[in-house]
Formats: sequence, structure tokens, C-alpha cells
Amino acid sequence: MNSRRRTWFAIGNPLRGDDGVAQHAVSLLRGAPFVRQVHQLTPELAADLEGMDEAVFIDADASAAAVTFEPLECAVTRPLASHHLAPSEVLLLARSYFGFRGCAYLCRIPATDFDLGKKLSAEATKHAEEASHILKLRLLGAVEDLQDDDARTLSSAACGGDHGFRNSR
Amino acid sequence: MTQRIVIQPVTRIEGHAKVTIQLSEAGEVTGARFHVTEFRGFEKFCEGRPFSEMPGLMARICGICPISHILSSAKAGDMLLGVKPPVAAVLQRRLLAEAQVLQSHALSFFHLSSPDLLLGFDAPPAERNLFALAARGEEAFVRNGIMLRRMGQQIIESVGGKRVHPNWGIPGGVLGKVTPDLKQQVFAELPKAYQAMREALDRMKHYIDLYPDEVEHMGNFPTLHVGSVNANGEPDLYDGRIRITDGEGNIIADHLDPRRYFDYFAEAAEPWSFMKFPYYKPLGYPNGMYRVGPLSRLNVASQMGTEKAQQEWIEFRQRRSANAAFHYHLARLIEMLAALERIERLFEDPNLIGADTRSRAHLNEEEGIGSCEAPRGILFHHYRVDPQGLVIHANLLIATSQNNLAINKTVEQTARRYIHNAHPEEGMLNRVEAAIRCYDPCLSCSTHALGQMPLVVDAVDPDGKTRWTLRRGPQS
Repeated sequence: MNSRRRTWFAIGNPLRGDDGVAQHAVSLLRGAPFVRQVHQLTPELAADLEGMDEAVFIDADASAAAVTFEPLECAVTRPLASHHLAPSEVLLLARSYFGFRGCAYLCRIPATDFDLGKKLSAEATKHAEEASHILKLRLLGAVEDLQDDDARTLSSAACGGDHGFRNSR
Repeated sequence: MTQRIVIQPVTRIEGHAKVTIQLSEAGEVTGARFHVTEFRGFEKFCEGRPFSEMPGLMARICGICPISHILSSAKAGDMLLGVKPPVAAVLQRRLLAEAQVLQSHALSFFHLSSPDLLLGFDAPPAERNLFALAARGEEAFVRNGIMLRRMGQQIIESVGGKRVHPNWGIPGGVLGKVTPDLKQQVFAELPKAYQAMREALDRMKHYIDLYPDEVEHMGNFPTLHVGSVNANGEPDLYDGRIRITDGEGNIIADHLDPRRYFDYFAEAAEPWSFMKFPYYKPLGYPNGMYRVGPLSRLNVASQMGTEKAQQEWIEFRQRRSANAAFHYHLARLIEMLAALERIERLFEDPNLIGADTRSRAHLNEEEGIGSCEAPRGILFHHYRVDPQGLVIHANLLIATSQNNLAINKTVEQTARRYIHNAHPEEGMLNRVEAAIRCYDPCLSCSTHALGQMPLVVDAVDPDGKTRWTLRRGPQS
């Protein structure tokens, strides 16, 4: 595992079926103290990115067909209406107010069943394992190779600068 | 020709709602309504559940103030058990009540309302948000707000296990633990937090001077004020008695037992809103309009009970602005300052880390009522249970709904001031929204509903035909 300073957010409500798939995926990592498990993204979480090299937002996504791990850009996705923020908005807060210049990624995990209950659907369970595998590779510094193979390109353009994790082979 | 203006959605509040403004043939405002358009029904679906589950279940009503729902629910559970929680449990409950006020008020003021104040009510909505403040050189202001909210959330997370919906409060006590590390962490942050509050208070006083028209016309009218105070007349978030003052500041009722809330307050319903309209019974509906929350708590108090907040409270009272909704913002900041001081005081109490945090008993009563002061105002939970302890009836009286009559009147007053000749302008829409935002309404709580709040302005002729509509927000 490389020594990057990282904060990852596993987002979702584990009592709403597949909404908890991100938290399940990170639980498979074992020993990842930099992971914050959160119900939802709120403004103060931007402060957790101060001084970090890397942010990863891991979330269930009903519109995703496959697990993706891709660069995240700052963006305001909708009129700011309440306390709940999107990953791109937390990133914008972190970059604007907490000097975060690290790389940011969004890991989307397909999810289909958001009914009440802790149980994940079979599909989500499978996707959680796949996401966990990608995240492990990321920790080992090998994700870019995987991304190249799968045409899910990570690029330094997603970083606030050159943070030197491209050559991981 | 009569017209109707509908503003939908109302943004930067918690929940779904819209505003309808009725215009005369001359284009002047004749009436206004604040509609809450969503419904969740927590009271109904908790029927049949064991009362011991209620604090955890009720916490799910709101992601902003779950602690308040847990506290009121746990206190109702205390009554059902017929027990008093141990001292350490009471102190923990008080600590998290203060931490929640800190984080919730920080969200309301810095995150949701400050863009109106810092950028002006006439700024385009697309630019009037937290993200735009960096370009205006307000990085330190925003950072302070986030730091204060994080401080409150960290206390809740450390003691309760989670920031949102912690499984912490239970009938008879709490399940949490206060560690010495938490005290060290909080005390290390306190100097910065006090400084941040000092700066925010100075800024807010400046904005009161900068926006005299908004202060005067956005919800400035006499109402009753309701809040909880302790035996010294100081605001008490956890276990006060109810005091009620009139619009002139005279105490009209005092030392009221919150467990008899139904003797003092009743709820009316209107066909155009899912949110009920509570009123003070002796004055009837709608004359019994009252307000709750930061402004009211400071209005009913005799003193604050902490040094720094006391100084601010004296100045606040000298403004003689008891009825201006705009002053909810200032009151909110004073309450945050008081919360910091009380948090500091609570950590100095050695009983806070006591290991005995739960009183155990079997079910002893069939009816339990619990209340506390949520960030937005007093909150009541009332349960009846069967002999097995299963809930057979639940009633929740929520802070935002208690402000419902006043919010409606605020919308009307604001519309009367800023709409003329039937032509709504952007500045009017902003001010109507901002006036509602003074109350920091949480419709997820008050209707026990979920989502974001809408704002619509329709112009309708006497035949009911819509002539034009203005919309703004997520669905626009």
C-alpha cells in the first residue's frame, strides 16, 4: 500500500438495501482507517480533505450498468437547496475553501433495490466485490493499469497537479 | 382581474413546499399561503412497534436534528418506564442537545442563509450560494461555518457513534460514552470557535444595519413566543418548563409542564397544506399564533446563564426587535455561542464520564410524553402503548409546524411589501424565500416528510385559468 494521504467516503444508508453497497464494498477492504462511512455528503466533510492527496467517493448508483472508477470534477449539479451535497460539490468546497489539491475519483457501484432492510441484492453483492477489488488495486497503486486495460482512463487531469501515481506498474 | 402568484420550489430549506400569492385586480397582494406539499406519516407507521424502538425509529425523521427526536422520544420512554435516567445520562443528553444546536444552526446560518446576506437579496439565484462566496473573498467566513458545524457533528459522532441517526438514546438513559480524548479535542478547538462566533456576530449585526427594509417587512409583526426555561429563567434545551410571552414581551404563561402540552396547544388543519397549524388554545385559531425557535427562546428568557452569550443577549434585547423574523439569524448565532459555553461547562463536569448511563425498569405507564428544545423550537413526542409496550398511538408536535401560522403571515407581509402591479421581480422571489428561511423550516420534520422544498408563482384569472407561472429550483 503506498503512502498517499487519502480520505475515502463510502456513501449510503445500509438500512435501505443496495444503498448500503458502498459501505459493504469498503468493509471487504479490511483495515482501511481512511474510509469514512457516511449516510450522505454534508458540507463539513469537505474539511476532511484538507491536506489530503486523494479523495475517493464511493456510492451506489441506480443508473450505472457496471462498476466504474473515474476522475471526479468539481461541479454544482443543481441549485443548492439543503444540507445534502453531491460528491462534485463536496469536492468544490474542498478545493475552494480547504486548499485540497489532490486527486479525486468517483467509484459508482450499480444498485437496483432500495427497499427497507439491510440485505443487498445478489447483483449488488457481486458488484460490491468487484468494486472492492478495484479499490484494493487502487491502494496498491495498480489501478491505472487496470483502467488502461478497461478503457476507464484515469488521468492526471483529474488532479490538482502532478501527484505522481501514474507509474504504478 | 384577480391573479395568483405561485413560487415553486422554495429553495435552501429542508423539504418540499410552494408559495401562492393572491393578487387583486389592481395587482396588489390580497393574501398568501405557504403550502407544504409532502407527507410521510411517521406517526402512523410507528404504531405496533415496541416503545423501546421509538428513539431509533424517530431519529430517522430528520438528518439535521435526529438528536432532538431521540431526546424527546427517549424522555417519553423514561415516562413509560417511570424512571429518571442517571446523572451521566442526563449530562450526555444535554451535551448532545447543545452539539446539535451548534451544528444545525451553523448549517442554517452559514450554509443556507449567509449567501442572501453576503451577496445581497437582489443577486441572481445562480450566484447566491455557498460556492460563490469564495469568489467574493469570503473563504474564512465559510471555513468558520464549516468548522463550527464539524465541531458539533464530531461531538455527536464521538458520543453517539454516528453523526446522523446515532443509535444512542434509549428509554431510561443513553448507550454512549464520553471519552477524555473528546474533551481534549473540543477544548483545543474552542478558542477558534469562540473567535469564529465573534466574527459572525459582528457580521450579522452589520447586516441588520444594512437591510433595514428587510428587517422591517420580512416577518415583523407581534405574535406570542414559546420557549423552555429553567428555574432561573435561562434557556433550557433539555428539560425546561414552558414560558409564553406576548408580542410586547409580557409573560402570559409560565412554569407550564411540557407533559401537559395538549392543555395549551391545539392543531388546526387546512385543506391546502399537509402541515398542521398549531395555536395557543386560550386565544383560539388563528389568533393564538405563536412562534418558537431561537428568536422565541431569547425572547422568553430572563437571562442566558453563560457569560459571553449573556452580553450578546443584553444587546439583542436592547434592539427591541422581538418580533422581527430577520432576527432569527442573530438569535441563532447567540444560541451557538451559548452552546459553546455550555459544552465547555459540561465537559468540566466529572459526572459526564460516569459509567452508569441507564436506568432499567419494566413498563410502568401506558402514556409517555417527552419534550426538548430542538434547534428550530420546542418538540413534543407523545405515545400511548398497550400492556405489551407496543405503540398504539403517537403524536408529534414539531417546531416548524408550530411556526406555520407565522410563516404564512411572513410570506404575506413580504409579498405585500415587494410585489406591486402584479409583476413579480427576481428580488421579490428571493425575499419571499429568504423570509421563510429565517425560520429555518424543516418540512421533513414537520410533515415527517422527505425531500426538497418547492417555490411556484401562478397568475390565475377569476375563471381559474392560469395566465402565467414562475418556477425555480430542482424541478424547473
